[in-house]
Amino acid sequence: MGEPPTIDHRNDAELFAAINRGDHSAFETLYGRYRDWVAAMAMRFTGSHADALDVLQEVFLHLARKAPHLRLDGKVTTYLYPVTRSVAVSLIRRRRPLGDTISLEDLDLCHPPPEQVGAAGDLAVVLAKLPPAQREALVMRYVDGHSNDEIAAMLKIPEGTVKSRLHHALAALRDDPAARRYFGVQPD
Amino acid sequence: MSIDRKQPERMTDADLPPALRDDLRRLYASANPLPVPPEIDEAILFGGRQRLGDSRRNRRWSWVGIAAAACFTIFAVQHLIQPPKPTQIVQNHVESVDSNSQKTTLSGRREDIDGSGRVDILDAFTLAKRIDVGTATADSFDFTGDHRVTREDVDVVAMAAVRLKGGA
Repeated sequence: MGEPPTIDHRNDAELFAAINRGDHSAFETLYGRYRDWVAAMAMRFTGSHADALDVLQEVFLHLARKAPHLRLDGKVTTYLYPVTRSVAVSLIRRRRPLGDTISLEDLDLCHPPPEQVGAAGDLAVVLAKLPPAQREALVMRYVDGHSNDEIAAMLKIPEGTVKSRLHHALAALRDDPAARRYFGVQPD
Repeated sequence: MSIDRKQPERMTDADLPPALRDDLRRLYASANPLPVPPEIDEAILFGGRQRLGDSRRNRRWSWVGIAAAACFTIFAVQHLIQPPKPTQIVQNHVESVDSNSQKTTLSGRREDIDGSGRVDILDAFTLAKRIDVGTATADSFDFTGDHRVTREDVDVVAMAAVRLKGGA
């Protein structure tokens, strides 16, 4: 994607409103701003480059399809996260064998990137043992830097549930011999 | 060995050791950025342009449809189903009652002053109008039995209309 000839100074809410009016340049600007973020989330969810690109396309086409009924109540990432997640889940489900009725909670989203070595590799192994929902909350909180209420809005769950998932994730990490060193505890 | 497990409400960023946070970020940051081929960009922007164009066209046609429906409704109301104005109804009935036997009504009720076949508030209005213009005769419209036609007779007709819940 080439750089736009002029910088679009409209904020995200103005871009949403303009997209609702059918303004394609607003769509283009929004795509430029959030393409990499959506692509990274899609890669995180699917773990596959090709699938992530499929998700990227579907998310932005979903956005265009929603016009003129788009509503932005908070950050664009708060709007895009559940859309990206939902599209990725649909794609993962389509790829699964017929009759495989795995629940949304158990879908392995946010799996650690493969082929890591050293400390990151050890951590990837530890994280892989966490329930997917706890791992997702952990990554959103400490990698993406979202607040608890933002996570709650993105996942459409109560904030208390977010806190609980983080609490259990951290407790599990403290209990894991491979991760105890992070907490200043010597392995048994 | 004791492990301190704080309640979820008390958790803060300090609960995550810096080394763990750094490794976590390093681990997931390694997946960034995902290279997006230019043809994918083009496909998405083309698709967006198409869909936004479609929605704008659909919106335009939906307004045309709404405008056409509104025009039809106005036409229908004005030319097909426009009811006569209430004042015309009253006037017509006052004249018709004057020219015919005042006791002959479709409903067979004396309170049906205007002969519409039902007793409603228009009968009370018609009687009031007749009293005003002095064409109410005592025998026909004396509902109170006092041998006079007054405001009280109008009230009797009005009460009859209300009791009959909008007409008989």
